[in-house]
Amino acid sequence: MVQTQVKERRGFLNQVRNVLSDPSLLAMLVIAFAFVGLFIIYPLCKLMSNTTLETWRNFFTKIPYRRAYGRTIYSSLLSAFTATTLAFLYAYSIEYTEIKFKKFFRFIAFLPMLAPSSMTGMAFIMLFGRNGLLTTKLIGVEVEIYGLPGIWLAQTVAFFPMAFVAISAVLRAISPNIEIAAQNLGAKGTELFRTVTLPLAAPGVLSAFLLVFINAMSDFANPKLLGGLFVTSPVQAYGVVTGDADFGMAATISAMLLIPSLVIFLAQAYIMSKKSYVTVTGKPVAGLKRIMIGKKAEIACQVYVFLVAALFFLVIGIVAFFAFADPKAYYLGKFVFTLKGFTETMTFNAYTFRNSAIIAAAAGILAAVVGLLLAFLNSRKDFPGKKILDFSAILPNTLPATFLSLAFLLSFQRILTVGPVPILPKLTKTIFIMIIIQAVRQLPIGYRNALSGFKQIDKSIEEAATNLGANVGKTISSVVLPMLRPAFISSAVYNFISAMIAVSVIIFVVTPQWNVASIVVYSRADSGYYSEAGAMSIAIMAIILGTLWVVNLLSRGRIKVFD
Amino acid sequence: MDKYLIELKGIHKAFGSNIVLNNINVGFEEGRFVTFLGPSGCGKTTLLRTIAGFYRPDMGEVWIDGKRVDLLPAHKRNTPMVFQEYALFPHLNVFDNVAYGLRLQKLPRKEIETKVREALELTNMVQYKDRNPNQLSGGQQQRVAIARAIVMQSKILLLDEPLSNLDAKLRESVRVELRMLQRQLNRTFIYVTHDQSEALAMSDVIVVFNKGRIEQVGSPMEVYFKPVTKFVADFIGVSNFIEGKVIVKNGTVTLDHAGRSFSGLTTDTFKDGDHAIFSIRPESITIGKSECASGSEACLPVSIIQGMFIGEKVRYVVKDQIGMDWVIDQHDTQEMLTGGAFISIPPDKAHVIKE
Repeated sequence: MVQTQVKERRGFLNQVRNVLSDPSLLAMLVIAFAFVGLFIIYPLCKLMSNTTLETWRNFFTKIPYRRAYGRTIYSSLLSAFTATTLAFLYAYSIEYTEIKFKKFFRFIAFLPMLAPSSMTGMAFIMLFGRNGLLTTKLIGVEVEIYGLPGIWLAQTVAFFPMAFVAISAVLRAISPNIEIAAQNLGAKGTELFRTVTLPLAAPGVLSAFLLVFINAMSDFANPKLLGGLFVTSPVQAYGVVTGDADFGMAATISAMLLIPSLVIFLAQAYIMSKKSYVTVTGKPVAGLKRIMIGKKAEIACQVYVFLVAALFFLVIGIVAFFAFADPKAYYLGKFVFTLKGFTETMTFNAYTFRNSAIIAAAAGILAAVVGLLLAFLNSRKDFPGKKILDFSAILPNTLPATFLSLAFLLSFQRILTVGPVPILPKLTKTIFIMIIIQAVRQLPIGYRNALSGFKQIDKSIEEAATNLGANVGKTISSVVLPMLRPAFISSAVYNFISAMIAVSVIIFVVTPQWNVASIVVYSRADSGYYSEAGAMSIAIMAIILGTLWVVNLLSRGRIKVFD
Repeated sequence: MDKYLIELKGIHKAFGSNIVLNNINVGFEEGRFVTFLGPSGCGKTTLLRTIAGFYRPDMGEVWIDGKRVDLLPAHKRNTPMVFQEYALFPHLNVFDNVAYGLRLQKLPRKEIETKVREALELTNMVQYKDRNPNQLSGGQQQRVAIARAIVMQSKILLLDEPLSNLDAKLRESVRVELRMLQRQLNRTFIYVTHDQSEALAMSDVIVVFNKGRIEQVGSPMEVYFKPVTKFVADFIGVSNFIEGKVIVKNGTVTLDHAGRSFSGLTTDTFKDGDHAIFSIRPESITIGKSECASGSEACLPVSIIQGMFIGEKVRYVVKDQIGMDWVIDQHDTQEMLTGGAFISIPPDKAHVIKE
């Protein structure tokens, strides 16, 4: 018999044939690619196409642009460094030592994440600003908080939770048995830390650093409130749009913000593909109990987490103080407490809470649904363009928030047509642009959560459904969705919270009709109405904490949003 | 009418440049217990999954019950399968797990209830019908997985190493039950395993795989006592091999090893000078301190390297004078030999393989 060389049937044509033979798969792919194409790829290209040779020349020749850019990178590096360092110590104290009240301190670490993103900036003005409670009123000294120190301080606190999440996930994934083995071989103290713990945690620490750096670079609210003459690029871009309506220049500035994060993103993807020590599942590893540090060091850790918690409470406390303090009396140096801040805000801004809730809930669900769809396709199906889809789903993580915001403004202010065929109505000034941009911003989180959910579900369970006669749609509805429900809800809630507090990502697309509470906090604070801004902040925090409490209650503690 | 319920014609399957199934041609009759046996990576699971429709062959055809099915998607084949990890739906209780496939077929509720009950009765799981999978032991989960598959009323049941997650004792009892279940239902079971004792104990037909090819198809007795290749002889049970050029005399073939002449029986035709391998099972050899008397047996002086007492037998590893290792099993003995000894091999115990 003549032996013919058999090759696996694969490649583009075979994938296309597979897709075409499965209508439900085809439908899902069309939706996925349409979403990603319209709301991620297209805005990115649109923004780039708004830059011109002249705007690029301006950027590199005119000092203000270069200076703002340099300052953005500089201040973001500082914030990333401090936030990562402080978060590492905090996470280490919680994951590696036997300090008391771990659960409580763990929750406290997330506090800045539950507050409007301009709240930290505002809090430092309230504490140390021209009329600061701590400096001017109580101690009687004036310090200069505006400029780099203010931005640095505010961003360190604001991005602490982000760094904490990344680092504590890695620390938790390290099996205690590895360190016990090292101790068994004679390593101890700092040597053990240096030779085992740190190298194992390094990928998480690095990714925390980069994450904070990228977010600090695109941060709008804190630099706007606290920057003073220290103008960063996002603030500058905002000024260029609102002041000069120079979209080309703003696009160039935003594009320059994208470059470092894109480089980081690609480099990280490359490095991670080369070596990975721990697979971060976020699940605690069963193992023996390790004793890593002495009694004295443990007390130091306890004091440290206490101090960090105290700082966070100070930030929230001062905002609450201003929310309840009568502003006129305060200027005269008297403390009179009133509910006027709340009542006045609510008279004019109650509708922004309604908007916030609708937009954040819709965006939270949309991001979780699209994330689930993309994760399903990527982990379970074979089709052409898989890598593109994966890349696009994570891309919004890399796009600076203000970049995305400007890109959406530029992309959707007219009816979108392909040739003569209209495919999308004008979105600007509608609620839809607010929902979609928030959903796109949160998509990487929804996608990653769903992806790790799929990794935990043995593929054979879906195969079993197929084997018993279920097609793709039926498999998803009867098996995949019920099993992923907790992951789905927790990512939707997480997205909801992030959307409730976001400022930078909607700064260019927000309109009076669809104004949201987090924007009001920023704009009231920017205009110096701290009483109203404080009251709004406290109300937003109350809504978020209430949501978490209800989720916890309804799921009987099974759904953990921050794990 | 076709003779075979399942027929595989010229199946090829590659993953990348790695050929996992290479020209598989085999058919199975209805009501047989068929085992796919082979080392890991030999293609046995791939073939099972090809029958179930999880893989599409790159070449070749799959026929089930007179219909060609290799172009049919997995969910339209009705080839129920018991997965290695059971793959129970964690969010459904035992009853709903078993009812899942029937509900997809939109059967009336009463009928579903009756059929699920029957399946649970067959697997002795009726009293657990309201439990969730995570409240069951491994063995119970497996029964549910089996019930979920047999309830589908297909003539075929596919089982992918279903016993590999059970402990040794349980495995032996489930083995017996599975075989009885298959006889009772009179369906064709296709059972994948790498465990040769499982295959020998349960099967009507064993298909031995190696590197994507079928080495031998036969009854347990055939593959054990009449392996057609050295691989089969080596993989199933333990065997000693000697090889060389043969001399043919009166229907027996002989070859020389370590200065002695060994003879064996064969149905293959040999002529003088052909190359052959003799496979001699450890239990066919006797070992003793004194040189064997009879002339017909091949007798070799050896030195004992190691003796292991394994309960029902003593297993010796010995070295002959030209340095080859032999494995010899002595049953029903209470003595343990050491030092020099002699082994004797009766002439009809060597199985001759033509290579």
